[in-house]
Amino acid sequence: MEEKICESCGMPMRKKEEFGGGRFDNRYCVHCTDEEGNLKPFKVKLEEMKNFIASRMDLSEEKALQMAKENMSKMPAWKNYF
Amino acid sequence: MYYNESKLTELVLIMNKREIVKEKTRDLILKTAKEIFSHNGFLTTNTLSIARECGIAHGTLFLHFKNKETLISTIFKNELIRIANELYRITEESKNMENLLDSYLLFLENDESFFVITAKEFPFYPEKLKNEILNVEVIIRNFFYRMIEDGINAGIYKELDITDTIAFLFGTINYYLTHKELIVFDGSVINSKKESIKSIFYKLLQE
Repeated sequence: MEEKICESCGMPMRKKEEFGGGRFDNRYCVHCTDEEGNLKPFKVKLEEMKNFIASRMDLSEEKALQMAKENMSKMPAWKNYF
Repeated sequence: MYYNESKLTELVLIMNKREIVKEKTRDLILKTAKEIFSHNGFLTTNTLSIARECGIAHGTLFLHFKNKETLISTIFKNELIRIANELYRITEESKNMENLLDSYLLFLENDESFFVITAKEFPFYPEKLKNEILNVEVIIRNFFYRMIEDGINAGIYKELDITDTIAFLFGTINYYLTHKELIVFDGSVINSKKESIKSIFYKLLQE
């Protein structure tokens, strides 16, 4: 099966459980959606992305926030927020 | 109708050939740039010397990459795709930290000159490029983060701060890359240090 990329965070989605709501036709991954597979609000996602980056890289909150914003500004799901 | 069917086929073939040549030129630029960066570094290398080494016009390089930063960030993204696919496969198949660390260290060792020079020059890179490289590292570190998290949940590893533990591992690797000449006279620093990196890291997780 062709690999898909989450349009919110860029994560590759291969297995069913990696797709939002466990549906192969979802454009967003399980981390970017709620239990029903709907895209989470921008503010929630920005906070999650910041925490994700900070925890993996041991970065300050400010730096992680800057990187999270930069990443999200390139994603189709959030292009209207920048 | 301006073209009959055979003319159309011919046109399609010519267009495909053009696409193939374009793709080949792009690959050649990336391969050559990586070699030059590995020897001379990114900061002092200019796009003209890359174009000359490729045997193409300077302007042709810019048809493929808008500047030197785009060139090196594309190299990093390609490297990321290569290692991330491998780390994903290991995570899925074996769920084994040894395999994961072995694979990552081998990946660094095989392209050591490139990683040594980028580790040394990183503090002097423009901020945008720094962020792009950090983002590549976020994804690689995440494989280790998840593996440790799973190990803690399964009771195999002791409860520890995963962020700090990963920083310790990657910080050590980065130290060896940055100070390679101080540590080994010739040959690979990763190869000479990998057994100690691995044994100390496993002890850290388990004791």
